[in-house]
Amino acid sequence: MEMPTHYPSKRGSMEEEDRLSSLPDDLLHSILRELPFKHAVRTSALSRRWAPQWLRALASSRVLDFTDPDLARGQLPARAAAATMRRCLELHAEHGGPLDVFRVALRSPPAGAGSSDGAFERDVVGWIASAVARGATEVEADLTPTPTPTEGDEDADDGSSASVELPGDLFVARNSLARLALGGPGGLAGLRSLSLSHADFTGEAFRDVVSSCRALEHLSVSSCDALKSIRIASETLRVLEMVRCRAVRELRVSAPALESLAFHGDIFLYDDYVDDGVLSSPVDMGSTPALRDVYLSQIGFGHNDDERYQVCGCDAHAYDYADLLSCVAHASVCTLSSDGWFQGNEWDGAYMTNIQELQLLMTSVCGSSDDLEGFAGLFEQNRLRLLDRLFVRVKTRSCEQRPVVTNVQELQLLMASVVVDFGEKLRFISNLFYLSRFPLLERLFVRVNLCLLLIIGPPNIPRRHYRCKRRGGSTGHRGPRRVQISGAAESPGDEVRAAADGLPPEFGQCC
Amino acid sequence: MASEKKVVFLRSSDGEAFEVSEEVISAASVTIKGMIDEESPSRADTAATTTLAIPNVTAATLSRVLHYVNKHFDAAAVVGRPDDYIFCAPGDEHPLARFDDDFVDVDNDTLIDLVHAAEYLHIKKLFDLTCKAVADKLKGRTIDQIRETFGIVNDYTVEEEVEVYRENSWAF
Repeated sequence: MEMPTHYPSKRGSMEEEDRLSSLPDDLLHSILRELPFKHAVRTSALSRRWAPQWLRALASSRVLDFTDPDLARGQLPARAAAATMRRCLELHAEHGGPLDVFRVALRSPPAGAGSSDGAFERDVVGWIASAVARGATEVEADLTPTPTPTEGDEDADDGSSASVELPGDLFVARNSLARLALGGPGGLAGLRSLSLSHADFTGEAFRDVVSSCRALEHLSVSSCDALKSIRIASETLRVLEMVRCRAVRELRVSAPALESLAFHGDIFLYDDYVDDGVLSSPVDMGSTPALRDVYLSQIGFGHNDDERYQVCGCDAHAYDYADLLSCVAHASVCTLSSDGWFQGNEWDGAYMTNIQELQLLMTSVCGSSDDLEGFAGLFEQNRLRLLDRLFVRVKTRSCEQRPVVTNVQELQLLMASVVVDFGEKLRFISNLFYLSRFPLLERLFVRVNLCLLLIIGPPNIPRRHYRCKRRGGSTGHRGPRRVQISGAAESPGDEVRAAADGLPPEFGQCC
Repeated sequence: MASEKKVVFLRSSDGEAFEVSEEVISAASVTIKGMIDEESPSRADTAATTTLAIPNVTAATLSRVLHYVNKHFDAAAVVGRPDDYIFCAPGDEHPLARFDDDFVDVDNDTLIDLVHAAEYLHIKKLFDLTCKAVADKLKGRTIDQIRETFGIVNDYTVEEEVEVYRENSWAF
């Protein structure tokens, strides 16, 4: 680094020489990075020396902050500014330097004002995605929609600016996202669907994100291992999926519009919530009158030896499940997976009065009779008057290599062997359905080990066309949609196949 | 001798030597810490004070830099974390925020000298502070005012200038 020969004696006479422009590029860039975006861009007009500098400065910056408050007031400048931001991001990506922080705040063009093709939103989504993919730990997007003269909120359903959707794979890259803020006042108001996976969220950051998405309808969180507490308050949320978030110990949801809930995760522990000797539940689902579709599955991450269980002095394991289940038991379609649900649960008589379709995925019937007793308890203590479809999948160790059933003889043979395998258990299950507790039940599907489908019909119900009652506007995708079992099937094999069509995806296709 | 009061001398480009606590300047300047570390094996037995040449920084600038460094280091010492280098951003409710504001409230040449010095001496917080100060001078001004303030010559042709404005018209 040479020392300028004129250094430093001429204090006060800066008019003569342009020491600022003489700074090396990297120093100039450091200065430009301290400027708000708009002001940095303006310096391009100073002289030829300055023309390319602002872009280079930002392209090598760890922080891209496009949140100039006075940036782009009208819609036209917003689009032009967006184009400039795009250039900047492209160059940044080319440059390949690290990116820690990405912030953008723009007034999005009003819906239907010439640019309703959603290009603007796709841009922003693309930026967010690339920022996250490149390891940014802080990402903020604030798209305040420009108010349209015809305000009609509900009419904004035309897939224009009101439907910014972050792609499901946005956060699949493992990263250490510490802060994701979408929105602000007005926010990414149009964001309807948000998927987060493998993002190191804290509960607080998560809450901020969700509360900033005011139109959010679909929220999916998966494999966010830093997430300890899920707290959601949303008037619009309809679908909530929580999958494999191992650290979650608290679930508090206030979503009156919720229609579908999927929870695939570990249990909650009560001892974290002991307050003055009173166990307060870590689960609170609030009121969800519209809830239709529930999927609850325990994956069991091996906490069984956790000493915290002993602290509770009871089977906290099952107790917690019962608690979650009781919050959602009024759903009409329910899938319960794993044995844990049935162990020692004290089934409340009020449970599951609305249930129309019940799917039970049991993994260890052969290993433990507790499951079956818990299972029986479910039917003994609930009068499932509306139940019209029941699916049971049972895994056993002894019938892993069963061939696919192709005819009735085989079916009967396998049936016989399964009865032998299960002994009293299977008979017990099938006997349940002769108890006329389920007046609407037409078919019972029992799936053994993904390769055998047994169809047991109550003997007093004549074979006839199975009319699948379609629930209006159902978002549930787990229930059968095509169930066509022809009366007096010509060949039994057909019937088996036909029945398989109506099975939920979890049952797999066996034919 | 009292090892806890080690000092070094920094000799400016114009030959003036400044005394500074070794501990202070090591905490502040990565460059000088590197120099001291290089020197240290030979110093152990001589016990003589070290003089480091700082060829890129004039006396006027160096004295300002050391003023800044001492001030900030003292603040750190008060807080009881002598190894930490504490910086207070302008606007903070800290006495040093005021100090920093005053520190960069200087003419353009002095400020640019400080940018150079902070960069050369690798004093990150001073570098950030001075860059921010230059940026602040750019921020509140029109293009013409910036040119005037810093003596920037407009070497665009009329056509080029029109094109530049057109390209980023949203920003103006």
